Amino acid sequence: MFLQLLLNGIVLGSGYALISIGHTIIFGLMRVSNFAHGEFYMLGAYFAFTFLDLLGLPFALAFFLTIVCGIILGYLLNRLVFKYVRDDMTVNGLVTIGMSIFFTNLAQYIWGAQPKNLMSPFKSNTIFLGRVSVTPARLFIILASAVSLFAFFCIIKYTKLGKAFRATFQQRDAARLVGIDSERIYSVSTILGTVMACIAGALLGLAYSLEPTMGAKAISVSWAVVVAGGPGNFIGAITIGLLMGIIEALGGGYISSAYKDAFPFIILILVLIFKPQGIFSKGGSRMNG
Amino acid sequence: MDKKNIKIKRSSLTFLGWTTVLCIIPFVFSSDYSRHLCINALIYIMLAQGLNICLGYCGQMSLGQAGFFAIGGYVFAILTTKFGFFWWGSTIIAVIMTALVGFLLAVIGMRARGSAFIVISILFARVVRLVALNWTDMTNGQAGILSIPRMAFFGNQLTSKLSIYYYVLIFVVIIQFLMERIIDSKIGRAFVAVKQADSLAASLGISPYHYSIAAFTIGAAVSAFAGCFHASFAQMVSPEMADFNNVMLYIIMMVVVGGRGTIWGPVVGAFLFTFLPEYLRFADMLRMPIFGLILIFLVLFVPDGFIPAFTKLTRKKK
Amino acid sequence: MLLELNDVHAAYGSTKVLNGVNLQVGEGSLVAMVGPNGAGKTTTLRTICGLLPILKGEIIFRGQRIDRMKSKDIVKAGISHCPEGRQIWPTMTVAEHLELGGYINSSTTCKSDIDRMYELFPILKERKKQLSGSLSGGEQQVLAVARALMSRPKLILFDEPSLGLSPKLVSEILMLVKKINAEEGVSVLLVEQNAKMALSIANDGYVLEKGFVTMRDKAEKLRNNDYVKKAYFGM
Repeated sequence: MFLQLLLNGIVLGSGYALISIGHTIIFGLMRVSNFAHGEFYMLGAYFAFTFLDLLGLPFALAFFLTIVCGIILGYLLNRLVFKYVRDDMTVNGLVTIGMSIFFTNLAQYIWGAQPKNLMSPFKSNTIFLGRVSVTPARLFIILASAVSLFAFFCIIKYTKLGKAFRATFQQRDAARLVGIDSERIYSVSTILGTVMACIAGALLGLAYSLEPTMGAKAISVSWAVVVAGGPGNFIGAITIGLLMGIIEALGGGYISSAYKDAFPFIILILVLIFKPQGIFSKGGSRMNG
Repeated sequence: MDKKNIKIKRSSLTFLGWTTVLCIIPFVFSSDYSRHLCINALIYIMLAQGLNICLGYCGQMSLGQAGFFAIGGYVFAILTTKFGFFWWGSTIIAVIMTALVGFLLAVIGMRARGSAFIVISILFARVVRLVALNWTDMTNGQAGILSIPRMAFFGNQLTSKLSIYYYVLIFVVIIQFLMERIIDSKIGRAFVAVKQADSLAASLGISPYHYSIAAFTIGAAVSAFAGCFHASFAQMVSPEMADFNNVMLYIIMMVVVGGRGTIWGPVVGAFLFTFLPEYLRFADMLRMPIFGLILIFLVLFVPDGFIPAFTKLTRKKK
Repeated sequence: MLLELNDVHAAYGSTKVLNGVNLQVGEGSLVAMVGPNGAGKTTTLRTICGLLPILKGEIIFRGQRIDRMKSKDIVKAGISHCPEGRQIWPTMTVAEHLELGGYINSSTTCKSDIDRMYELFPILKERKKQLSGSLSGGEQQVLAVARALMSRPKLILFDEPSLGLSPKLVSEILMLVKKINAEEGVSVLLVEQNAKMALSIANDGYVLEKGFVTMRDKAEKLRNNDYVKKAYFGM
């Protein structure tokens, strides 16, 4: 039972990790309190739904197109909105809340409020690894998440753009002073962040049903992860994202299924009581809201 | 001495002016449905002021007021329906209980300032909703609690919308008066600091820790009070009272668009955001997305809210 | 004239910091700018490299107005800035710093420039794989200087390079600045708290007080000026 729950938790946690990395990029680098991040997750799932179920495209193509949509969405968001409200967290928080309302209800208008399911390209036979059963879809989620995160890290660590990104993140002025175009970096960051969330949506959509309001849960978890891990802290986002998923699965299985949403949150509150700067942050600097 | 007198005179006149406007409103919007909305607006004023205290006095954004709204409403509902307790007794107990919860939350959470506290407040409201949904013995779960008694004025059950409106208005005015007392002196300073440093964090240093906790607790109490009135007026409570999208979003917009840190901003905001969705009904399915867009534009172009913008305009003319 | 500032005014929000700064840096020269804290020295440098927009006036570099250009274009035009407090990237290695320093150049140019830097600054070669956060203050300053040189600038702005360094390191760093100016032919605008040392290596000097230039002369003359000695050599 434990291993089974652990596996489910890892599946869920991989999704959370992806969402949270996107969120921490946007929040940490551009100081945008993005309350609409859950909606990017939701839109990713619905993009996948459109390509996979409504248009009946082959899986790889549908997935690829979902990512393309994510890129376009991220680009537009930066160009039309974030560019003007960076750094002022109250204003951008409110703007993203407005965006959240907009997207949630637009999705409801376009795709309807009834829960949907992604047509999984995987056969629904269960594979048994020891005493643990898992569907190919879930294995794919874990794998694809790992690949995405790995790709992300490679980009960040080894490419010129990735280094420019890190430089802008750590010391924005010094980066500008070596000739890095910070506008471009912000654009790339928003795109990266959005795409991560969209991928998470498309992936988790393979295991869970889709609803226009699915962003609400995602954003709560995402915020909890980003705050606990520290804004801009990638390792923190991944570890805590995974942890949240695992705790939710274990709590749901052993303690109570109805309250399973509450467990990661309770843990977070406990973390914040004892270490208000988050688990991974080094200094005593307060997080500015 | 003279300056102070003029200031007191001016603020009293403003207060009287607004109160008069509020008294006249149910005659401007005189249909039964409009009056129903007006009463909702009044209740939302109370709720929004709960957030306003936190924002304006502590300089701290909180996204969990809906949680207090729900707790207040539910405790009230349970006491009046399940235990047949009398109206005012239930209200007082509900408010006190919620204030206690608010106090605990403030003590635990305020150490972790800024974003961390915001997240805690969001999660708090979610947990409240979860409990309301699942503790079915007490709360009836999804269905909520029904047949909650309406208000009574000295023994007479209030039935007409007009009478209910004025009854609630009395308390709204009292709360507005309280707001003036609590906030007015601090607001000026808090607001100036926020403007200068351009971020919420700057105003965090203003109130000493224990004043912030006290203010937050009062905010929770006021929101709970609103919850009791809502329960009594709508005659039902449901888990949706703690829902972010249904309630909290509106409160935020009321306070921010009306003018955070001002006393009458939330009043404008409450009426605006109670009536606006109704006027957008013609768009039917696209109503909410349009609403979202309106919010975005309002925040971008009137970032301080309507009341401060108006004050700036009138000051310029002089 | 390589760089000219004509009647430059600037502010942070509603706080006015520069009140009409007039400044010139000649080709090949080393100009020192001294003055009290809060006079606007750092702000002046920030306006030159595009980090702060100016309210009034003009900044001309090699005959081109740069006061409305974006930082990245100003770097491409040939100005480099070694900022206050060094502003290094703590989790990036020495090598990566130099790579990024040459961001605007092609990768082949960059590679050969990095090798040159290792020649000029052997201490960096020793530590090339080390994370910059683990370097000592003096080493970080050298790194910041090398990074600024990587973009092949015509003019380097130095903002308080002696900050936080021991007296021995201070003179080493300032000698380095002089060397860069004399041997590499790069013009320098040096902002320094340590007025005495700054004026001893410079050709020309400016005293900035309350947002405008109060004195301007050959560095040697300013060094011997009684007022300057009294007010700023104690620092």
